[in-house]
Amino acid sequence: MDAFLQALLQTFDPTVLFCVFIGTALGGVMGALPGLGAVVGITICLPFTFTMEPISAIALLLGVYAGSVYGGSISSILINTPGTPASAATALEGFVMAKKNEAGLAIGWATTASVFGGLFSCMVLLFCAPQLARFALRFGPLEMTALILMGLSCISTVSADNICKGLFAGIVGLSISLIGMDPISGMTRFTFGSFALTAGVDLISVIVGIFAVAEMLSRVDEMSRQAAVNVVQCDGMRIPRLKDWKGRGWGLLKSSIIGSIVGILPGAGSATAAFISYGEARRSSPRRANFGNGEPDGIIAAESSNNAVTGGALVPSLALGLPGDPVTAIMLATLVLHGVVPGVRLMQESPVIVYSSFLTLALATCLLLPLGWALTKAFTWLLRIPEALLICMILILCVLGAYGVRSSNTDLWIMLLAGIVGVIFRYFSVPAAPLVIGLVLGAQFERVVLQSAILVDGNWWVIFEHPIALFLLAASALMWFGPAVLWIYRKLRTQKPALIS
Amino acid sequence: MTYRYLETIFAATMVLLGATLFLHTFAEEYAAMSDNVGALLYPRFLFVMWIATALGILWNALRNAPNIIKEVEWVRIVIATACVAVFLFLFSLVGFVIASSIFFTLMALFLGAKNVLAVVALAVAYSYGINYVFTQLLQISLPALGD
Repeated sequence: MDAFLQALLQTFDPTVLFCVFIGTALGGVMGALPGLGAVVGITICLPFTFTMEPISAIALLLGVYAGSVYGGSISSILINTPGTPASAATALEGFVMAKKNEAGLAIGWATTASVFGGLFSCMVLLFCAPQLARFALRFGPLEMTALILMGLSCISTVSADNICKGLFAGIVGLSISLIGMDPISGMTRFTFGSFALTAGVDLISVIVGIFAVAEMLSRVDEMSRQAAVNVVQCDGMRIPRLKDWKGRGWGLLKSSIIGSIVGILPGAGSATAAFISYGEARRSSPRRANFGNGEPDGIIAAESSNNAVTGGALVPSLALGLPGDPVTAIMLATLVLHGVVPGVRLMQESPVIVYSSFLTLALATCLLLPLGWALTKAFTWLLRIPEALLICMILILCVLGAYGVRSSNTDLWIMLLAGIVGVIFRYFSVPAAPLVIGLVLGAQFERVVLQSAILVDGNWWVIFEHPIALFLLAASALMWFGPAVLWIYRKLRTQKPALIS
Repeated sequence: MTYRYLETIFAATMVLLGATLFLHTFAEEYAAMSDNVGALLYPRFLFVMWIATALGILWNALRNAPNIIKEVEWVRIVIATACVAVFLFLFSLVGFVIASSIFFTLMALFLGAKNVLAVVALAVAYSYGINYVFTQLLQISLPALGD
């Protein structure tokens, strides 16, 4: 309780409040501009966090996170172009409402649902994370190995259409983390004679390169093919009346629950949550016949759900040190920069930081209401900023983000290389998220794998004495080999009738 | 070149890269590390997994990848990458403000900005502004001309 009160005091520090406010506003703008979104928003904010206190830094990044997930709904509704993939479902109903001159009301539904979903997930975070962290304190090296393996397997298999591509990206991330000093012998490895690589590859440089630089380079290609956008006229946000909410409360709650659960699962992401909730609302809403004609239930489902992911995604990150998506991976990397070690002991060792994260996320979510009002007014003006200038500004911030950590020129070239790899990965639909998460968890994974190897001393049957590890390993095996088994089963089933005939 | 052809080349290159890294773990420089229990076991295991998953991508490319031409303006991407590379090269040579102003101007003009004077003015103002925020407010030192 002391830690919570201390966190409360620290959160209401003027600097932290300012960071939440700026972060949420910037996130909203980044989310509303098509093609940018949470990861690019957080990446370009990274250099500003280097000299901040950890709580202020996390407040800024969480503000950007909450703001950008919400901001995507504005462009979905007004120009039928989702600012982020998470808002694609919102466009299905929101843009139809906008065409009926109800854009302000559609944004009002999206905003109120986002605030509810976000706050609901903060409650989930507040209650679930401490319980999970307490449970995780029992984890030894074997359990940790199995847990990281399951997290990596989950994100690798979920984030790509082709399971091999997802797993490949995760393995590349783990392999990059090998560069530098060997944890056992202390000798350098895979540096290929480069002294600059002795300290390893800087995580931030790779993150900035593979997400932000790659995104900007891809925009250079896409902007040559883009048509001019038509913005639907909107006079401002209109909050729905209380009586309009009648019969929609259960849908709102259900979508928030779905979003929070999906957020906790590594790799699933807010777009998945939004589409699951939208599908469920379309199936179960009393007004399902109106879906596709601008039904607010669709907007409520998509928006409450994708914002509920924000809190859910922080549960495994803060309780177990297991990032479920690129955003939480960047946040954990930021904590490392500030000397805070993420992992199962984070809650025990730095409770104030953890509780402050809960509170700042709740604060950022509350700020979405005034932000929605301001963004709706400013959106037409925002879209007039030439994309060419935006790309230049973001790339300059990317360079500073990579340089600011160690003031090393090598890190800049690593960033550019990661950017090129990111563009190639995008072209071949290899997801970048598992690579970054593999890189974030790489050193820790290697350490626990080696500790486990020493612990079992060649007798791998010991694993049967660790039910948690066994369960997690079985879950990983299911994710790896499940699709192959299913494929063989289907093949056999289709062959059987042919044999009989 | 069709997407299937390009993905096959990509996957084959990744298989070769994985194999090269795996063989590299047997290099003489790591001979001392082999004395420690498991020191090279983990990297070798990773590279074997690397090769296996890359082979999976290769198999999928040969069987399922669409035989279409995926439109990407590679020339524009290469020029933009070159602009960033020039920026990085100039960054430590002439300092942040000059390098950033040159990069901003070149890149914006390449991306289709029309008003040269406005672009130059914005480039210089933005570079100075960012430099001020980082060096004075955030106390993060950036390279300057004459450092």
